[in-house]
Order: sequence, then C-alpha cells, then structure tokens
Amino acid sequence: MAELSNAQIINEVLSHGFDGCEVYRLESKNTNISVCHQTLELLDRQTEKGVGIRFFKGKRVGFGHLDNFEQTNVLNVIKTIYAVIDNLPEQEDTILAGKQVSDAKYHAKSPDNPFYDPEIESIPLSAKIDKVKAVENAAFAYSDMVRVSRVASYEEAIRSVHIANSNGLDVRYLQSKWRAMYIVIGGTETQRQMKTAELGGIFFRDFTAQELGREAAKKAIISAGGQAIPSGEMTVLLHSKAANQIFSRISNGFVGDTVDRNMSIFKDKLGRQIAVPQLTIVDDPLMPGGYKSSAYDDEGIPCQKVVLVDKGVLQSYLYSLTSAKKNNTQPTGSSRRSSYRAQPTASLSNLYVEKGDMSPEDMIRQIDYGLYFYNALDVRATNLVSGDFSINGDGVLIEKGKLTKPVTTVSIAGTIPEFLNRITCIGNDMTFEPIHPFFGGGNVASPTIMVTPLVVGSS
Amino acid sequence: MTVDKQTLQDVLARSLVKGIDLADIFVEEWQTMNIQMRNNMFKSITPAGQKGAGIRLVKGLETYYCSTGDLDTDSLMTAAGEVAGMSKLEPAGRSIAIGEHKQEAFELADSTFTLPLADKLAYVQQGNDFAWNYSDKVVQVIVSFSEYIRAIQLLNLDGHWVKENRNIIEFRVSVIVKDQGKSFMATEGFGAYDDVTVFQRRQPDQVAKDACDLALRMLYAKPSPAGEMPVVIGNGAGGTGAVFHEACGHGLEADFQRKGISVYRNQLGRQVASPLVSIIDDATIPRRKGSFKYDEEGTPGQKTYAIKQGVLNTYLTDRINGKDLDRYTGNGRRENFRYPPVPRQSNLYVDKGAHKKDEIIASVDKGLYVKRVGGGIVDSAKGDFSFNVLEGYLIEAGKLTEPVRGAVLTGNGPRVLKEIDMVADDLELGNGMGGCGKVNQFVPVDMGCPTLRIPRMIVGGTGSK
Repeated sequence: MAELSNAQIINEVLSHGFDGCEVYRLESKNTNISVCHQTLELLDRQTEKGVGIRFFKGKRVGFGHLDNFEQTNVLNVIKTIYAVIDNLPEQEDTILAGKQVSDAKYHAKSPDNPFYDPEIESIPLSAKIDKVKAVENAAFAYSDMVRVSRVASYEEAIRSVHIANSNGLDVRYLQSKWRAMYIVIGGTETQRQMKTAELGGIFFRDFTAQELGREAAKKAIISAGGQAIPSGEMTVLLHSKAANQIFSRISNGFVGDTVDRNMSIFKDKLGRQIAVPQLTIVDDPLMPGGYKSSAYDDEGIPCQKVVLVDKGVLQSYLYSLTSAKKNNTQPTGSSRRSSYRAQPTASLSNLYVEKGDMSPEDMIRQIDYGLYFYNALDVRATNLVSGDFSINGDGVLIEKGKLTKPVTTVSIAGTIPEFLNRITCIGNDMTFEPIHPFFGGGNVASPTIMVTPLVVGSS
Repeated sequence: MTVDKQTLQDVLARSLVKGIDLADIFVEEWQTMNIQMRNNMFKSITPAGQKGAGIRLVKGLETYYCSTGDLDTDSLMTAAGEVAGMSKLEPAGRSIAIGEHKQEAFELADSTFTLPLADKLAYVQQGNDFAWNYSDKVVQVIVSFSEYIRAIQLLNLDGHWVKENRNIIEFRVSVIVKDQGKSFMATEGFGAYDDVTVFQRRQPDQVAKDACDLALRMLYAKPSPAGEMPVVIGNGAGGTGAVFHEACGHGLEADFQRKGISVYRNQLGRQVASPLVSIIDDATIPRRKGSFKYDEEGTPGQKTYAIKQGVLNTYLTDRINGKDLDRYTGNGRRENFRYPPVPRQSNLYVDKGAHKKDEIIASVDKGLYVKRVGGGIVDSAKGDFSFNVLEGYLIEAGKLTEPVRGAVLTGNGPRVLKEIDMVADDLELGNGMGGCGKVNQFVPVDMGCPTLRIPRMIVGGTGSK
C-alpha cells in the first residue's frame, strides 16, 4: 500500500479544499524491560509510528490521527474532516507556525546532536537488563525492611519526529529518551507501603541504578511503624522528591493555556511578587541530557529556557502558539503533545527550582519541632483555581534538630500563596524526576524546601 | 481483516524457539470516532484508526514481546524473527496446525456501525440542547460520544485460532449548575459493548435530563456529616461497584498474588469476607462493557466465583499466572497489540443477597446512603481506599431524608468485606462509563453490587456529625 510523505499529505489536504494543514509524524523504536525479583518478566521491542493532522478551513480547525501513513486511510480521514468541519467552532487564536527549516544536526545520529545518545543503540540488551536488575539489588541491599518488588522497569525510545505545515515549516528531530521506574513494597509485616521512584534522560550513562533503587527503598521504609501526630501548625521540611511533586502540580498554573481558561490563580499576576525572594523557578527544555529536552517544540517552534519566577516575581507563562497569540506575545516553544493522537498544548519541560546553600541535614538541625514530609501520596487535591491544597503523605517527626519518630497518615494543607510566601529555606540538593502527566507532568527538580508554618493534620 | 490464516501460521512458526511454554500472535484493527460538544459548540470531531500485531513468547515467568504497526507479511516476519532473537533460544523449526476457529462474540444487531456520522452528531446535539434548555442554572454542558470498532484475532502455539469483534459505544453528558455562589457538576451516560440500538434503549434526552436532575438535586444539598457511622452502599446502578473493583478486585488478580503484593496473598480457601459476600467476575454478560467471548490470549471468558460465601475460591488468572494455580479463568487482557496480556477484571460484582433494600435502610438509625461514587484512590499494598461520594443521602430513623454533598468514604477493602452485614437482592451493574488502568494499560470494564450495609465506616466531610 502506498505510504504518503508529509508533503504529500499536505498536498492532499489542500487539494480537498482546506486552507491550511499541519502534519506531525512520529516514528519510534521502543524497548521495554521489566524485572521482578531478578526474573526478566518482559522484554518488549516495538516499532511505533503515527500521524496527527490538523486541518484549517477559515478559522475552523479539525483534527484526525492515524497509526499509519497509507494513502487510502489518510484520504478517508481528510474526507471525514471535510464533511464535519463546518460544525466546529471558529478559533480566533489557533494558527500555524511560520516557515522554518530545522538544522540537519538535530536529525542526525551523531555526537553533534545534543538530544541523541550515540551509544544507546549499541549497548547490548543484556547490559540494559543487568542495570534494571541492579536497581532491585540496590533496594534490597539497603534495608531488611524492603520486602517485595512489584516491578523494576526501563523504557527506551529512539524517536524521529517530523513536523511540516502548509506555511513551509519543515522541522525534523531525532531524540533518544529513557525512563526507569521502580515500584517496591517496604515496611513492617503489618504496615506495608508501596512506593515508586523514577529517573529519566537522554544518555544511558545517566541511568544511575544504585541511586534509583536506594531512593525507592528509602521512600518505602522511611515511615515504617509510624503513627499519626497531633494536628497543628508547624515547620514542614519537604523532602526534595515530595517538593518535586508539589512544584509539578503548582507549575501547571504557569501554563498559558491553563491561564487562558481561567484555571489558574496566577492569572493577571505577571510582574507581581507571588513568592518569597529566595524562590526562582525555571523551565529549561534545552538542558543537557534532560528527559524533556528537545530542540523544537511540537508545533515546530525552537525551544527556549524560560524563567517563570525570578526571585519571587512572576516573569512569564509557558506559551504555545495559540496561547501566545491570545495574549499578544511570542510563543516560548512550550507546545507539547502526549502523542501523535493529541493536539498540541503548552506544558512543562525540565522544570526546576533554583538551589539554595544549605544541606538537608543542616536544615533538619535548624528545626526545633516539625515534620519531615518525605512522601507525597497524591497531589491532585491541589486546586489551581481556588489555590487550596491538602496533600496526604508520610514522613518523620523532627524534634530538637533530630529525626525522631516515623509518621504515617499525615496531611499538609493550606493555600498555594501561603506555601510560596512561607518558604524559609531552600536546600542545595535536587534530582530531576519525570512526573506522570496525571499528577502534573514535566521532568521536575526541587531542592529540599522548608516552610514555616503549614497546617499539619492526621488524615 | 488483512492478515489471513496462512500468514498467521507462517509468522507464528517463524517466531518459535525451543523450550517455550506459550506463544501467540495477536492482530487487531480498529477505528474510532470521538465527538465532543462544549460551550454549546462542537469542540472536536475526531476520526482515528489503528492496526498492528504483537507476537509473544513465554518461558516460565519470562515474556519476550515484539509489536509492529505494519501488517504486511514482511513486517510481521521481521517482528517474528526479532522476538525469537531476543529470547536467545534455539529456533524450533516447526509449523502450526490450526484447530478450532471461533468467531463473533455477541450477536449485535448492527455490528458494522453503519450509522451515518450526521446521526451521531445529532445524538450529541440532542443531549446538548436538552441540557441547556432544561434550567437557567445550567452554566456548562459537555456532551461526548465515542465509538470503538475493533476486530481482533489470535493464534497460539496450540493451533487455537480466535476471531472476535469488540465494539464499544460511549455516550455521556456532564452539566455544571450554579446558583447563589454554589456549583455542582454531574455526569450521566453509558458505555457498553453494544451497537447503535443502544440509543433506542437510552435516549440522549433522558441521559441529559438525568444529569441535570442529579446536578440540581445536589446543588442545594448541605455538607455531609463526618465521622464514624453506618453506611448503606446503594446498588451498582450509581457506579458504586467501583468500591469493590478497586478495593477488592485488584487484590484478586493473580499477578498481585504471585508477587506477594495483594492483601489476599496466600489466602485460598480461607474466610476473607462475610459469609453474606460472594464476588463474581463475569465476562459473559451480554452488552456489558467488560464482556468478551475470549480474553486476549484466547481463553474463553467465564463467570468466576472469586469469593464464594466469604471464602476465597480463586484468583483471576491469565495463562502465565494461572499455571501454578492450575486454573485459567480467562482474565488475560490487553489494551491493544502493543502490550502482552496481564490478569484483569472483566465485569466484577458483589452477588445479590436475601435482604430487601427498604429493610436495610430501615435498619439504620443515623447514617449515610451512598447512591453514586466518583473517583477514588486505593493503596493496593494495604487495601486502603478513599472514594468521593457524588450523590449521598442522610438516613435518619430508618428513612432516607435529605441529600448531602462532599462526603468521602474511607476504609480498608478486606476489613469492609468482613464487616458487611446485610446484602440486598437488587444487584445492578454500573453504567459502563468507567474503565480500569493497570501497568499503563487501560481496558473496558463494568462493575456492580446490590444494596448493602457496612455497620461502621469513616466518612470524611465538612459538616458535623
């Protein structure tokens, strides 16, 4: 069957009576490895491909997607969209990127391409499997309280993306991406906790198996045998991984498309002090080796580093083409798609909170009575519209500068502005962690954060 | 179907290596249409298509898997060769003889989904218009229609060849109502393994009316009381079966048992629930969203008593995890050809009992009646769950009195099953609007229960007790 190129698809779309068109094409070679108790449970390799097509007719925009490029299927989608597009609403601000042709180096399997690991495809599968097994070994070596593995997994994708549109945009890029995850159960026989740790990146050498295994183990056993503590206001020290979760969720309020839908407490706050002056938040899609790093965004705009909050002052939102036009400004190259099956929208890339000077150990020493909030269970009860948040989790009590009793079933609560304005100290530690889109998305890093005070409740 | 029988045989034979327990090739082709209206406008009308094949080799607990989105013989042969290579085992050099051939799961009146697009748009428009015109308190209406037309086939090492059509229709209306600074969002609809005649049984107008009525009823409800109290869970028509799917069903899946994750690990033959409680997983109920004739590794879908009168009877198995238990319950399911199957529920429900609903309500002096639940979270290592109550009513002196909002049910799955002390005869399954996610795979399911009583439960809420 005849397969169509992007240029041929654009020609077909235009010849069917549309005014404009954008084609986003993905071709990917994926490898998945799952290990449980040193058994290779799954070795999976797949070729994945697909195309998402946006159709423009006047101010109306239609969308269809296919997992192949075959002529008959593409024509079928074109005809279906043409039959229905007049039912769709006019969209003033949805536009196509202007003419742009990408630098060939970003589509090359060479060391000049900063978003591709030239070694990753030649590393044998057995070496990758061994590394996944090493994650598990590190966790079990860490403590006797690590009890059961659910799964240690590794996903790798060699992704070739080609975005073209009827304005002459022709952007191609090749990336390698890997992501490793470990889910483990630890604790006492009667009080077990299941916890997850994740890592991701471009270069296989950055897959630090020992660190991932130990991190998951620590999370699973930190509050073993713990109890609830009396509710009240107190100093809360957020472990950097818990802070990652919280900043992923909150930072969705800096996404232009969210702001435009009146879904963010940060609407109309540009240029205003929204947090303590120690706080700087940056979104950097060009960061070397970052899991969310890319030369271009998913509408073909060059990616750029964006300082969202500078010394507590809100400096910028993350804009797609649509949200930039709506706000009469320039796009920030922040448009992303969850797959070729989804239309682009602005979202987080590699987002981090700038480090401070103090080590987490020294921060603990400063606290007379407080909660070391180690694991955030579910950050979705953080309402970006009202600003209220209430997050369940577990951790350890801090008394007179020392970690004393494990604490379970605890919650921290307040409002986002309270949280941002009560930060009293920012640590000098941080590790990037891919956050599931369900909880906020992005590849996020925050140091350990001290907040004085927050309401702590027993949940 | 573009892949014929001979190609399936040749491709699977190419993949075979020595020493394996299981091998299969799974091929599927599907088309979808999603339509959504919001703000009184069509927001999206999205056609899509997908096809592909996955080839699996299993040795003990190890799975080697290779999938491709191309169904031409060359691509399939390449994938077969690749998966054989990944196993590092010696080629078996044998062919596959085809035995049985089964086709067509449930008799659908119109399995080809020939309804013109214009009619589908009209159904969505009808639900939308009805809701907007129903009340001036309606401030937002979101209507969506989805259909999945899916043809699958599977050939395994034993020469067992299965073909099945899996067609699912979903329709839902969400409305947001606002008055005096209060707002409430309610959703009604259905998802079913069905054909277009479903719209004769459940008309868009009626779905929209039900959503509006629910939203308006709950808008003025006072905050739910909080604290420990008797809770009566209404029958599954309000989606309440989700509590048992999440808090108990997942613990019955055989991989969680084998790995020692499940709260029901090593409990076969033991009393794990009240003798009033039987839990059944049934893939054979016609027109239900979680139904199938064959699971996605070719085992017939079945009605399985997982818990019988409180005693753990079996886990829900796939081929890999059923081997040691010597029991195959037909629960090996996959989202699509990209994934190997894992043990999943189909339509899981608590079986009916002998009490009457009225009798159960009358037995409670002061408590909460939970008619409908929304999203919940479960900690599967501990069995703890919490669910938001979307529609709840106070029970006072044995009578349902006023609606309350904002209640959160929290509890522990195994403990709740032991404490259930009344079970009614009014079993209903849900509306099929939900689905189930596990290890990144999403599969259609339904769930249900009869009205039942839990004598003590922690209810979170903002009102006083």
